[in-house]
Amino acid sequence: MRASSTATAETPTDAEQPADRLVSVKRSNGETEDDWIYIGHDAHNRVIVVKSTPDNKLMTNNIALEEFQQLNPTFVESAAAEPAKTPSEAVPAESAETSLKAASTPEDWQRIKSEAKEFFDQFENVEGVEALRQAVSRHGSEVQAAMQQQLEELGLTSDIEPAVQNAKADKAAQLVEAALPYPDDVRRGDRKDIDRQRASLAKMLAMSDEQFSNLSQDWQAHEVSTLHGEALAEDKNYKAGEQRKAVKQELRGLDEKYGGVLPEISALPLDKEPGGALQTALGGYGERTQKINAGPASELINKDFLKQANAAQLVKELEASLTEKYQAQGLSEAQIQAKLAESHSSLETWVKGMDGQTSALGDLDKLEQQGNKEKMLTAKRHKIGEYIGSALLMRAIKGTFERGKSNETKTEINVTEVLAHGIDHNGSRGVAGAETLRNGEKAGSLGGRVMAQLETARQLSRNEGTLMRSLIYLAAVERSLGDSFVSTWDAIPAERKKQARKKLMLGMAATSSAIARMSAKAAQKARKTAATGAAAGTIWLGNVRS
Amino acid sequence: MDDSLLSGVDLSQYSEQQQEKMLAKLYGKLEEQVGEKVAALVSDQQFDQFEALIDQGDEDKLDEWLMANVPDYEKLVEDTLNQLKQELQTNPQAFE
Repeated sequence: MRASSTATAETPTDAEQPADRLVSVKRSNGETEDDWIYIGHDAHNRVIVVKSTPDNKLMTNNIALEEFQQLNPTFVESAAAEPAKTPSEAVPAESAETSLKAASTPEDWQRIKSEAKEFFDQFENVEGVEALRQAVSRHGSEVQAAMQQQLEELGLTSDIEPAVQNAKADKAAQLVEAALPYPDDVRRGDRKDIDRQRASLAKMLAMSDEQFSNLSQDWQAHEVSTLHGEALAEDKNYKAGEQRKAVKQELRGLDEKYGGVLPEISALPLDKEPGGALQTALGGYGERTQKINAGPASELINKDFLKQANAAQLVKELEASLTEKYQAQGLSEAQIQAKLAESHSSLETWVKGMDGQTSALGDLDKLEQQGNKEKMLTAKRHKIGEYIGSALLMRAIKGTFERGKSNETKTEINVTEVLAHGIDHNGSRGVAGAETLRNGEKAGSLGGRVMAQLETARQLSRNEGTLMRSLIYLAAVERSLGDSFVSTWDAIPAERKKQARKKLMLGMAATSSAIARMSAKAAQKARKTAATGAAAGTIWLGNVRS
Repeated sequence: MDDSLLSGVDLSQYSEQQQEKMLAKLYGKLEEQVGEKVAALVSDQQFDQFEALIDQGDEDKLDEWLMANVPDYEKLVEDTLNQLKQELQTNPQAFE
C-alpha cells in the first residue's frame, strides 16, 4: 500500500471554491481538515484533492478511495453524479507555471507517467535521470556558493535565489539537449518524438525531490499493476489451468485404458500414416474381431481363445513392421531382437487394452496431440510466471529511485513475509480464500490460483539470482527495508530461505486442498439434508391424505 | 453467515467490504498457521518431492501427496480454522 503523497507549488490567492466540492481529508499527523477541494480520481482509484496554504502554495494530496468515502460519506454520490471539473475550472487559471501544476490532475499524472515510461523504456537507464537531477542540483549549489562569495566580496546583500534558479534551469536545458541529441539524419517525425522526450525529461529535472519520488512511485505501481493484471487476465481468459486439467484427465483416461504403455508405444517407429502398416494391421485385427464376434457360438469353438490368437497375431504383425523399420535403420539382428524383446510386453498390453476395438490409432494420435497441448499449456503457465517476474525485475531496477527514501529505515527481514509478498504481491490469494470460505463452489478457482502461485514460487526459487531477486527487492522497496536489502538478502543462508519457503508453500497447498475437501463435504451434507427434508415432506403429505 | 465453513461466525455488524477484508486476513492467518504445523511434520526430503510435484503442475497429484505425507491434514486445517473462527468472533478487531 502506497503512502499518501503531498506536494506543494506556488499559486495565487485561493479563489472561492464551490462548497459542494469541499471535502474532509485526514492528514498524516492524524488531524482531519475539511477545506480540501475534490479534483477527481487517479489511475489507482485514489482520490486527488487540492488546497491552498496560507502562504499561497497549492498543495495536492491523494488518498485511498475507501478512506475518502469514510470521511465523506455523502460526497461520493454527488461527485459521481456530477463529473469532476477540468483542472482549469477547479484551479484558478493564473496558477503559477510549475511542473506541479502540470501534474495536479489525474490526466496530467497519467500523461507524465506515460512519458516517463517512454523515456525509461528507451534508455533503460533510470539512474541517468537521477544523475542528471543531481548534476542540476550540484550546479545550483556551486552557483549559490560562488554568488554568495562574490556578493560578500563586493559588500552587497541580495536575494540570490532567482539567479540560482535561472542557472539551474539553464543547466537543466543543456543537460537535456546533451542527453537526447538529434541524430545527424533526423527526420521530422523523429525530431518531434525527441522534442517530446526532451520536454518530459525537462519536467523530471525541474520537479522537487518529493514530487519526483511520487512520480516514480506512482509510475512504478501503475506499470507493475498493469503488467501483472495483463498476465493474470491472460491466464484467466485462456483458462490455462482448467484446460490443462481437462487435458490431463484425458491423458489419464488413455493411460488407464492401455495400461500406461501408450507413451512407450507412441515412441516406437510404427508407421502411423493413413494406409501405413499400422493402419493395415489394425484393420485386419478389427475384421477378424468382427468375424469372431459374429461367428457361431458352440461348445466346439472357444471365442476367448480365438480373441487371444487374434491379439497375438496383431502383436506379431506389429513386430514384423518394427523389424522392417529397424532393418532400414541399419540395426544388427541382435540389436533388433533386443529392441523387440524390450517392447514385446508393452505391445501385448496395448493390444489387450484395445479389447477388439479399432480406435487404437486415434487414441495414439490423441495422446500425442493432448500431450503437446499439455506441454504448451504448462509452458504458458511458466511463461506467465516469468512474465510477471520480468515485469517486476524492471520495477526492481527502476526501484533505485526509491533508494534515497528507503535508506532511512532498515528493518530486519522477515523471509517468509518477503517471499509471500513476492509471489502474491496484490494479495489475490487471500481474497480468493475468503471467497471460498463464504462459497465452497469457488474452491476450484482458489485451487487454480494456489497452483499457479506455487509454480511461480518454484520458478522463482530456482532463479533467485534474477527473478526472485527482483521480487524480493520489490517487497523490500514496498516495505521500506532499505536499499541494502539485496545484499542483506543474499547473506541470509539458503537453508533459512528454504525453511521459509517450506512453511509458505506447504501452508498454501494444505490449506487450499483441505478447504476444497471440506467445502465438497459440506455441500454433500447440505444436499443430503435437503433430500431427507424432501422425503420427509412426502411422507407427511401422505399422512395428511390418509 | 450460515455457510457451512463459516458456521458460528457472525459478522453482520460489518459492511460487506469489511467482511471480505477480515476473511482474507483470516485465510492468510490460516495458511500461515497451517504452514507452521505442516512444515514441522514434513522432512526436507519430503519437501523436495513436493517441489518436484509442483514442477509437474498436477493438482491431483499434489492432493495425493498431501494425503500420503501429511496424515490428517484436513483435520489439522479444520481445527486451525475453527480456532481462528473463534478468535474472529471474540476479537474481531484483530482481523480488521
